[in-house]
Amino acid sequence: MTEYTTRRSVLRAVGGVAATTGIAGCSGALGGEVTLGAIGFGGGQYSSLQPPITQTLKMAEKEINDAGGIQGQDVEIKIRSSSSRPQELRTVMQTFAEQDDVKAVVGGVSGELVPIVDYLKDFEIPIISPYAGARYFDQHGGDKGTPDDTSDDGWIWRTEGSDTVYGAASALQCLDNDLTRVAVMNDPSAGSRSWRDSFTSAIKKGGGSVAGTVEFETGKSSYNSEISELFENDFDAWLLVGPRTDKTTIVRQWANSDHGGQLLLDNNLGEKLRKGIGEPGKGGWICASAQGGGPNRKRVTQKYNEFTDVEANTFITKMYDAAMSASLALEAADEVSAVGCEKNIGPIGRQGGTKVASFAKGKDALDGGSANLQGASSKLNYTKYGNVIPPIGVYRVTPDEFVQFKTIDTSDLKEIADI
Amino acid sequence: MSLIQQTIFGTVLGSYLAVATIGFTLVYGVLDILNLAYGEYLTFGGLLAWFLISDQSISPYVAVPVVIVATALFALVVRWIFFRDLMDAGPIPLILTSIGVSFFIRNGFRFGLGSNLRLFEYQEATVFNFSALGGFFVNTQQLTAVCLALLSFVLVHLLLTRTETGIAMRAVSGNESLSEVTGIDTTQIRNYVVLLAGALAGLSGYLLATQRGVTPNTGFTQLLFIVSAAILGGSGSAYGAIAGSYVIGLTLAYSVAYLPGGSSLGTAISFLVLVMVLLLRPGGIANVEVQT
Repeated sequence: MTEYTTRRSVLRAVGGVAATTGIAGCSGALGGEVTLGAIGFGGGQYSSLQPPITQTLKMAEKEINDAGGIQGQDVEIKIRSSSSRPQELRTVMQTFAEQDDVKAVVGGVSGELVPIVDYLKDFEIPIISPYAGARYFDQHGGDKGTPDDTSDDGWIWRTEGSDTVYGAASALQCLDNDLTRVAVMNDPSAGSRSWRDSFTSAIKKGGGSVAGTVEFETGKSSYNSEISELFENDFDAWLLVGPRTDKTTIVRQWANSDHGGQLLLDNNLGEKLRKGIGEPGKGGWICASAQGGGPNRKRVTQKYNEFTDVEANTFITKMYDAAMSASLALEAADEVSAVGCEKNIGPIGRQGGTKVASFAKGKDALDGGSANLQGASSKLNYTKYGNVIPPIGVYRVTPDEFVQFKTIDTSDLKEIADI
Repeated sequence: MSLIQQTIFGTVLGSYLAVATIGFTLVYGVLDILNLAYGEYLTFGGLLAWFLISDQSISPYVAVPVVIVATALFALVVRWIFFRDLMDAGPIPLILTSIGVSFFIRNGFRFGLGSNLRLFEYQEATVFNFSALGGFFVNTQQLTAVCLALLSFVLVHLLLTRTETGIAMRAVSGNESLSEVTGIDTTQIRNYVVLLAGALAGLSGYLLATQRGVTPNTGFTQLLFIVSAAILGGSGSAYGAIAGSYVIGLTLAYSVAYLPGGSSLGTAISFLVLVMVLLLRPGGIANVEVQT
């Protein structure tokens, strides 16, 4: 009897410990953590953009967690670098999906997304890119206007305007100033070619003509030969598209060659570019996101400057919008899952619901009904293909700054581009 | 497109390359090292030039000599630390060591200074336009690069032909054992060659940096052209290095002008030229004796 009692006592004690441990484990799982993935630039050609982007992600993560997290769960934004190469992005996405169990991903440039878009779709994890301007995504992303049905979704969204929009704006600026014969110099990357094609297509639709195009190899110490080859043609204005370092070399060598002509540049308003080309490129035009940006721009920019000493770049507002879109979409979802996020990205950004500018306000609005996220870079009225149409400003290059002197009504672009 | 214009562009390109290639090929000829860390000396020179001229606002007339001397000393220090004790190890260990040293130095620059592009303040050049011979132009920046290159060629030539040190360098390059027997301090000569190579790398780094700014990768991106120019000209020959550099510079310029997609193909065409020359003259343009 004593032995039996002893054995029962031991079993009871062991069972009690096991039950306690199990309950404790369950409590930990209920508290939990939500992971968002962020595609970093690593050591790739855009690596200099990473530091302010990292700070923006940290800022967004803090904002979300300070507001109580996503559905009560803390958020971790995990950065994994792809060096902007599609083959490395494959590995990054696999790690995000299988190891990190991310519910959404932010980041990715056109050059790495476009070549493996079908592979990325198979993960069924929404990717919101603040950089990708490739025309490919004009009609291949988003939820096709049917948020609840993900079977036809593109799973890729972007908070950056399409090259179609900026290219058409640049073309319109030329046409409005009777600069109807143009030439283009670009590097052979997919993104630059997309930009070039947007511009030339819009010029032709507007009645202008393309006198010549030259592609240049990146990383060279001299582009005098390429510049001379371009200027063998007779034209009124020329567009230069490519990495900042090469653009800087080309503009400086063009300025020291007496060729002349009206210069246009792609939609990069970075301070480093301005420092490089401000003097030699003065008088040049850049069509880019208008200074006002989105409704939330001032608040986000101010918050960023208070958060960190790292100098901002033009993508911090777009990355912030991407992180907020993903987070609020997850907050609005029935369950914290990638599919739940995908179903709500579009509705969170489109018309209707209480307008909100922060995650905390978004949570409150969702508790009461619905929320409409007001972006920092644009209004985030995602089209059915997951695109935004940011307000466009025309800037003049000066030695001290890029000065916005005109705003382009995007409705004017519809005559020369499919927007 | 004016052939004269492309020839000017090619000559300028060749000038930047030639200054660096002379140093590289001398190291190969005298020390028997294919030093693939040589590109980092250019980067060092470029970074130091940027720091002195753009950051500290020191006049280029003062900064450039400082860069030349400092890069020479940098090259010597690198040799003492990494290569001196491996001189008898054979060519393969030396090449592998130089690759490792290149990674170490380049990533050291990146870690310590960041990857940002450092640009010199824009200097507007005076452009001289000519309508003769199909029309061409040349600007003061291009003339400066070519003149500095020519000056360095003349100084190297005088060093190699009119000074005891230079003659000793040529002797060691030809036959080290015999040079030792005749009383030449080969260790000292090696140090002088490294100093000279470093000095030329510093000057080349400065010239490159003024063209497109400088990053930790600047020298590395030029290394393939430097090695090719050295081989094309004849390994170990300073005069061959000059010729090889201008052949590559002109090939790059003409490719862009006269071939469709020439900018992207230019690099490939340069190496094709290298292969073709070596098939006809294995010793390169200078027809250096090929050791078998």
